[in-house]
Amino acid sequence: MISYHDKASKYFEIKSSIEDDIFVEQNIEIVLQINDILKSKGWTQSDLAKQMGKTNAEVSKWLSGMHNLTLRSLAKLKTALESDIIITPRKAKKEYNKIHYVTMRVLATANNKNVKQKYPEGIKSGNLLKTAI
Amino acid sequence: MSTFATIIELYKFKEVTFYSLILEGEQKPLGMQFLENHGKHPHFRVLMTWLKKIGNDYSAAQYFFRPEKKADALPPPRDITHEVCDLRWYCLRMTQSSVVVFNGGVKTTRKAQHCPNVKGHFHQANFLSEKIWASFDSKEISLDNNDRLVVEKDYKLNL
Repeated sequence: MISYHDKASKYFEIKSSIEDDIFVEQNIEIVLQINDILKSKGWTQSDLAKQMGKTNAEVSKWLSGMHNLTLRSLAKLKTALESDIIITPRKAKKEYNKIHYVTMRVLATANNKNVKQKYPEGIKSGNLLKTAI
Repeated sequence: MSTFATIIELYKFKEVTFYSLILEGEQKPLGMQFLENHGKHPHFRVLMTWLKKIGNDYSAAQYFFRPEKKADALPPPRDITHEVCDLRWYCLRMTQSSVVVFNGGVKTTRKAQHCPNVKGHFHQANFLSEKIWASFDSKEISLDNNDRLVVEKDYKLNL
């Protein structure tokens, strides 16, 4: 196939400001996050409207962009969706970087030929393991 | 009136390849004509910033495209961009990785069909989109494992 890559590159590789790049990326992330949450809940925009106690037209206007998303509107969306939409690195670390240790007792006999297959490498009969989950 | 068109690769990003068409009797691909005519428009940078982000990082998901009957248009709808952009680049989003761009312009009315600048491009995009899907249905063109277009050398799209 004929390629115009070289001729088109001066347009496609136009420099964007760092601020524009960040703005675009944040917008995309928020839209994708809201879509993912709606999908995981099996919700439509109309379900979201019901949950927010608003009419479909109101929510549609909300998500139409005529109305730039403010922190207040994000808080309302978070309340309705019962899920984080944006999260700061500081909070993400606090919320998701936790390591919970649980104690597991693995029951197996050392002579059992199948032990290697039945249990992951490193786990031997009677071992007490600390596993991060 | 052109009776066939050649499919060309306009620009390849990591996630998305943009293709375009050279109509019979014309020198430049439609997508190149758009770039050359509107590269200095004040909203061009907004459009291309979005395009690069989609092309490099996010892929051509349907919600990044404005539905335009059988065709599509860029930039993404305003509920995604939160920015004013009067430019419309008509295209056909075939898959997450393949987008065929046509021509476009500065839209001045709510409906493309009423805008003297873009109505011709809008109708052309719809006509060409229909032809591309027809050639896909008849297996004249196809997609590879990465959802990119596969076109035989010297293939001409019948219009």
